[in-house]
Amino acid sequence: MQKFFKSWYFKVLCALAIFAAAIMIRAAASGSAEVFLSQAASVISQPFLKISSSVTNSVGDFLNRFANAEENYLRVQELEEELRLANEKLVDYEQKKRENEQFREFLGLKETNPDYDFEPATVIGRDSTNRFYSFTIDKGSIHGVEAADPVITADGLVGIVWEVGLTYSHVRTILDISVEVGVYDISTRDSGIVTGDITLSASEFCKLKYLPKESGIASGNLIVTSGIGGVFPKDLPVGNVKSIEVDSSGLSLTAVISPSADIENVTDVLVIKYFNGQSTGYNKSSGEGGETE
Amino acid sequence: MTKLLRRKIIKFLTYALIVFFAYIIQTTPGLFDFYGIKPLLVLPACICIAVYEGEFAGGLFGFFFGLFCDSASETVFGFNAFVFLVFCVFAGLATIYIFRRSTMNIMLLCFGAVFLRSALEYFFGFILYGYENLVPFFYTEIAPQIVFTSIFSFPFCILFRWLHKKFEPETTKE
Repeated sequence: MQKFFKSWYFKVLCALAIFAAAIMIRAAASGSAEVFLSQAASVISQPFLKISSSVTNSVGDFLNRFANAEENYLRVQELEEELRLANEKLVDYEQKKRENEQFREFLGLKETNPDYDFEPATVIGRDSTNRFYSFTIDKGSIHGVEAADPVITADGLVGIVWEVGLTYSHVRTILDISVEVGVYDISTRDSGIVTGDITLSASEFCKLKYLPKESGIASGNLIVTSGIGGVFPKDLPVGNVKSIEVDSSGLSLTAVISPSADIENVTDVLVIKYFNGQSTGYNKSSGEGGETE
Repeated sequence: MTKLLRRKIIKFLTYALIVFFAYIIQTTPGLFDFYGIKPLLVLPACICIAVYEGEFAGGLFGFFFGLFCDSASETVFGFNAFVFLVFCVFAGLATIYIFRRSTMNIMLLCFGAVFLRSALEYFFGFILYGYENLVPFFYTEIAPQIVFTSIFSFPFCILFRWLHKKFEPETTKE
C-alpha cells in the first residue's frame, strides 16, 4: 500500500480527484456545469445517444406489440364492440333515413290519394333465375297484405302481390308475362293492356297491346293505370312510350313501354292494401282483373 | 510498437467501448427501463475494470466516464467523476490488498459503490434540501435502483474477467 501512495499513479489520481472536486464545488457554487467538459462529453455522446434512442424507440415499438399484447387484445375487443355499436347505429340510421324517404314518398302519395291504405315493405329477396325481376317483400298476411294488392313506388307501378305468406309476399312485376294491367295514354286517352314480353323484359321494357290502329299515341307519352276492373287504382304511372309498331295481325298497335319505376333495382315498395273501387280478387289464370275498357 | 503495447491499447479501447456502450444504454430513454427504474451501468463497469486492471486504470475510467454521466445527470457536475474515481481506486486497491478477485466480492464491491453513490446523492440532493416524503422515495426509487444495478454487475463481472483473460500476455498465461 505504501508503494501506491508513493507512486506517480497516486499523484495523478489525486490530481484528478482534486480537479473533480473543484469542478463539483464550482458547479455547486455557480449553479451551472463546467461548460467545456460538459459540452465535450455531450458532443462525444450525443450522436451515439441519438442512434441509440432511435433504435430503442424502434425496438421498443416493436416489442411493445408483444409486451402489451393482452392490453392491445382488450383494446381491440373494446374497439370492436364500439365498432359493432357504431355499425348498429349506422344500420339503424340508414333504415331510418330510408324509412324517412319512403314516408315522404308515402306522404306525397297519400296526399294525392287519400283513400289509399299503404303498407311500406322492403325487398328481401330476388330470384336470380327469374327473368321478369320478381321479388319477395318482408310483409305478409299478418300485415294485412293480400294477393293481387298493387305494389308501387313513388315513381309508379311496380307489380302485383302474387303469393302471400305470413310474413312475406311474392311480387310479380309488370315485366312479367303473366301480369296484365289495364292502362290508358294520358294524352290521347287511348286504352290498352300492359304486359310483359319475353324479349323486351331483358331490356326492362314491357309492351302495351290492343291500342286502336287509329290511335294518336306517340313516343314519350305517359301511360297510367285505367283503374277499370278494380285491381289497380286509377292513374298510377306505369311508364312512357318508347316506340310504337303495328300488331302482327295488322288490326291494332303495340307500343314498347319503359316503366316509370326502376324495377330491377327497387329496394323499397309500397303495397296498396286498399283503395276506393278495389275489387275482391285477381284472376291469376287469365292474368288480369279485366281492366280494359 | 511492441506486441504487448498493441495488445494493451486494444484491450483498453475495448473496455472504453464497452463502458461507453453501457453509458449509452444507461442514458437512452426507455432502454432497460423497468417500471421507471433504470440501472446504473457505468459504475459497475468501471469497478470491474478497476478490479481486473488495477486502481489506476479503474480510477481513470471512473473519472472520465463519471464526467460523461455528469453531462447526462441532474447531480452537481463533477459529482459522478469524483465519486467514480474514488470508488474505483478503492475497488482496485481492495482487490490487491483486502479481497480475493471472486465474482461475489466484485458484486459486493459494486453493490457497496452503488449504495454509497446513491446514499450520497440522496443525502446531498434530497435530505439537505428538506424535501417531504423522502423515506418512501428511497424505498421506491433509490433502493430498487441499487438492487437492479447490483444484479447488472454480474454480467459485467463475467465479461471483464473474460476480456482480461483474453488480453492477458501469453507469457503470464498458465
